[in-house]
Amino acid sequence: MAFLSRQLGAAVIAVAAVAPLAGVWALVGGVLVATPWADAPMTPSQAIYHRDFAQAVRLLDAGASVTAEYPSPTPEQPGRRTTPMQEALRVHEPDLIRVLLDFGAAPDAGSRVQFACAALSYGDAEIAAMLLPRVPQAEECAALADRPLPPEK
Amino acid sequence: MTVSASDSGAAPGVHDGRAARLWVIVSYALGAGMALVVAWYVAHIPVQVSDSLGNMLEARSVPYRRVFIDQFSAKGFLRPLLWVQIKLAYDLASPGFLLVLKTIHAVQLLVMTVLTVRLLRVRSWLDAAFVPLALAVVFGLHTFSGTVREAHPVNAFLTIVVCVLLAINLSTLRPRPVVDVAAAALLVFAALTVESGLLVAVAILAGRLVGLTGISRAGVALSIALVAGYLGLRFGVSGNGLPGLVERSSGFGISVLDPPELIRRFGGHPMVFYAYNVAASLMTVLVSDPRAGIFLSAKRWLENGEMPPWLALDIGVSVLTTLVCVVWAIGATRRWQDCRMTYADRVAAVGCAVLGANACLGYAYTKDVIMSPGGVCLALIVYAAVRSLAEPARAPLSGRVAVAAVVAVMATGWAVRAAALPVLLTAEAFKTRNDWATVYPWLEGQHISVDAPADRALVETLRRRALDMPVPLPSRPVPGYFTYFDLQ
Repeated sequence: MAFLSRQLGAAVIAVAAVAPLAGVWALVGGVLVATPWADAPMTPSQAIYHRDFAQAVRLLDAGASVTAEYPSPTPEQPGRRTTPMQEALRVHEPDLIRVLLDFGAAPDAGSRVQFACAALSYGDAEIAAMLLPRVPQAEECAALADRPLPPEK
Repeated sequence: MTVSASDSGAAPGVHDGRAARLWVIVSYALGAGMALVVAWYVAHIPVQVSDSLGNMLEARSVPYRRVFIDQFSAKGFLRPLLWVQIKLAYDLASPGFLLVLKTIHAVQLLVMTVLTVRLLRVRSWLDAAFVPLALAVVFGLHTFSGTVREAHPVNAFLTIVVCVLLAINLSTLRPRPVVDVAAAALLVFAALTVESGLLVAVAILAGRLVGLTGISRAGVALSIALVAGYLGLRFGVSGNGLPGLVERSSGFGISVLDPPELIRRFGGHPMVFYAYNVAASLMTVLVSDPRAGIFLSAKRWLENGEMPPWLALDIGVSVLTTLVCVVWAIGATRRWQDCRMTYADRVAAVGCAVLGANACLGYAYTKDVIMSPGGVCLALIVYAAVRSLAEPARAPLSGRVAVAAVVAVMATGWAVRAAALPVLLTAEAFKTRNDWATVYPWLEGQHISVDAPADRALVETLRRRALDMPVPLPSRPVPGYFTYFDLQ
């Protein structure tokens, strides 16, 4: 009887050690196995919106236009269309902006001014300075940009 | 007070040879399975930009001899074999980079797990029942994640974890001259890879002191002589010295201090800062806070007035685990005084020595991954602790139910912590792939030139492969319980 009691006690502790591990790992394992790994089809702008810069650059590498406006819907704005640069300014990624400039995102001085103003409107003076040697003041931007500025952050 | 290879610590529920072999096989299979799952996620992380690319570009164009010799004149560090390994990995990996580098990482993981399971010395179903918990501690402790989420391109910290486990395993073998030679070679290899390789000497010495006789007294003396030689080389011949306060930023209290601030605060009395780092390193393993020297619980509480669920879970589980280990330590000390130490006690005692020494070696600055050998040793201590709690002769059934409740809480907590690792690695894969999107601006910022056609080709090859790797998007909806996962 004492032997059985000892064995039972040991078995209870063993189950206590194994069962939670098996349960949690089965649960999380199921979620991980069910997680899709392939990239969902996205436009370059959408990819940047989702901070998937790799996919955006891969699409641009494959020949997607860096200056075009792409659908980039959000729950609030289902019909939203933006350029990759507009999204990059929104997510404040200086290195990504440099890459987009290398792809030709700002082919003329006018578009640089426009993007610098957009950066200022987001409160990002560093990126604005990267785009232009002399950053226009905020009040000049509305006149310089050929479209309304994005809303303040 | 010595232990031979046949001393298994009188496992309860001991079976005949065939049944025991079954539980041994089950334990190794579980360990290998866990290592392979982690390796699978590691394999889906592209070659890293920040940790690997610069090293590969640097090692690519330099001959082995220079890679080795140049390190002897480095200031504050002595890591000649680390650079030989980086160059060797590069040469072996070219041109199939990812496959070879990830295979090296997977083999390291597999070897580490096999060595860990071997040290647990499973002899019965009761032994085997605690193997998953020990492995959950190995993979779940935050100090371990740095050994799998990054590579340089070979993860030197994981190399040292393997070396330390190998040293403890050597201590458990039958004493032979070849074991002494292997231990000495292992020490030289580890110490010249990174500074924490000296933990191999600690494992060798501690093993002998607690009665593991695999390495003879002569072998231990040889190891001590090698450490003396290392110190002479470092402080005398090469003059590498020690890293100073100017080397890098370090966490202190609830913030990160940069070198000028460190010098301003501790330039006159650096021992205070070093003592903090040693204590912080020890606490990060035993309490899971601070992280990289920063007390995250206090920081989050002061900044947001709340503690994230994952941090509360990590700290709670670690505190409970440490308390269980303290109970074991008290009992083990009594058994040591009475010359009744079990095999598991001895191995865990070596783990305690390595953990303490690991914290001391991290005196210069705090970084969680530096404590990875100590973290793995915590698993050995936890195994001995819960195993001793389950000894049949020690408590009535009611007491066992209480013990079972404690073990169940521990197991649940460590299960969640270990389960977070694959999730963390998928996030790391996404982050690393993104790094390749902006690799050229990064190289420019680091003043690394890739004008040479071969360098450019290497970067472009790795960039293309990284961008083409599928990874899960972190912005996808995740289950609510992920808030209990430490994804830092």
